[in-house]
Amino acid sequence: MHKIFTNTLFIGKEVHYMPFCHSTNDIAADLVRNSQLKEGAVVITDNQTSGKGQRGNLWESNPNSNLTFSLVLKPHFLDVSEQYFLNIAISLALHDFLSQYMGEGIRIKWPNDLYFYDNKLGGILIENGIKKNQLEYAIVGIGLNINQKKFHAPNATSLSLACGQDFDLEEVLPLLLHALESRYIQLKKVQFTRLLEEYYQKLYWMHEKHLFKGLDYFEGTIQGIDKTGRIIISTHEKNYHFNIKEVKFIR
Amino acid sequence: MKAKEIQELIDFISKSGLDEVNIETEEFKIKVKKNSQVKTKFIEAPKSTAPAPEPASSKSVQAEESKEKPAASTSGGDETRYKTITSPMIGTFYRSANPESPSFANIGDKITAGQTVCIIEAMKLFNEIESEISGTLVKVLVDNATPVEYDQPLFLVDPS
Repeated sequence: MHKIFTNTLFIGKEVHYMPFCHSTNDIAADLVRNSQLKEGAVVITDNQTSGKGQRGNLWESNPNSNLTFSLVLKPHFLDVSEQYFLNIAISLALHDFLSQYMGEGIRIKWPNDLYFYDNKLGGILIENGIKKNQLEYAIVGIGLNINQKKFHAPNATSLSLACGQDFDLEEVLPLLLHALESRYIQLKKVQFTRLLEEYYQKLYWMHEKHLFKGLDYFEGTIQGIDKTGRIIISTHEKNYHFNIKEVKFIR
Repeated sequence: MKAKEIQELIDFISKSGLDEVNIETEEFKIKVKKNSQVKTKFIEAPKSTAPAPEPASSKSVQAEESKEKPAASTSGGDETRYKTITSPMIGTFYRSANPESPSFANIGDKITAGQTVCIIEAMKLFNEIESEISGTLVKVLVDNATPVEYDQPLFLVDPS
């Protein structure tokens, strides 16, 4: 995995490969704080031993089976209040990449998980450094299940399980990096409306009636996200805005 | 409201499984919150009649006649020399990198400009916030894992 041949402009031109490590996000953050990484640098491992999921959760991945890496971006052009568009752009990039293999069935589950029908294929964890109220750097951690067949989590799947064949990680990674760069360039051009439109088109359960759990169970319909990235779910009474961990998707 | 009524109310709430209850009438306003991290307690009812706290969590009761003070308010005149670290964004405030790790900064700690003092999360984007000032951390103005607004004061720092 240490040789990557990309046809990108800046993403993946600098690669830090480790046979194993605890978390590529932590390593990338240490390097970027010491000004050792340029924008577009990738920190990648074959075996992430304690990959980070959502605050305190672990990201489960078998060695040599999946793509687990972190991408360093320096989106100085984004205001701190607009940073959730980074989440939208990266989610769309993963969607673009996966759609090349699967066409139908790929959805983005708010805020940034990738689903194949009702099973999770991948996730994103972005950690930003804020200095003087400005976005100094963003560490984009990506975990995509490629060849793994068995999971402890009940609703996980992989590209291989969905397509019925294995993939060469060294072949698929450049395609993913290319997808990431295209969406990042679109973000740089401040095409926010377009990005949000596409995000809505690909959003899991958008405009469908489902069961959720906030403080209690309720039936509602996802209407989109608000100006701070919170999800808007409407019931027959009113619209509710939820942060992550305030709402669960039930069925 | 009588002490006994408050006690009954607390008993009822503790059995209900609710984390927080706010009741407001013309005469009084009462806020009951079950929270393991609450440090201050103001109990209107005599201690002897208050229910024994459960080992896993503590309860706090705040009975107020007037509106709540904003989190940023300062009480002493000498606090004017303190500087505040404010939130650059709307989100959820966290004092540590993850639930198991220690806080970035505690009261009494010397902090330097450029040091990470907290994380603010919005839409699963985790923002490490650097202090712009150096000094001693005097006060943490926001509870861990609670929502913050843009420009809301988070910490008081004594720059001297």
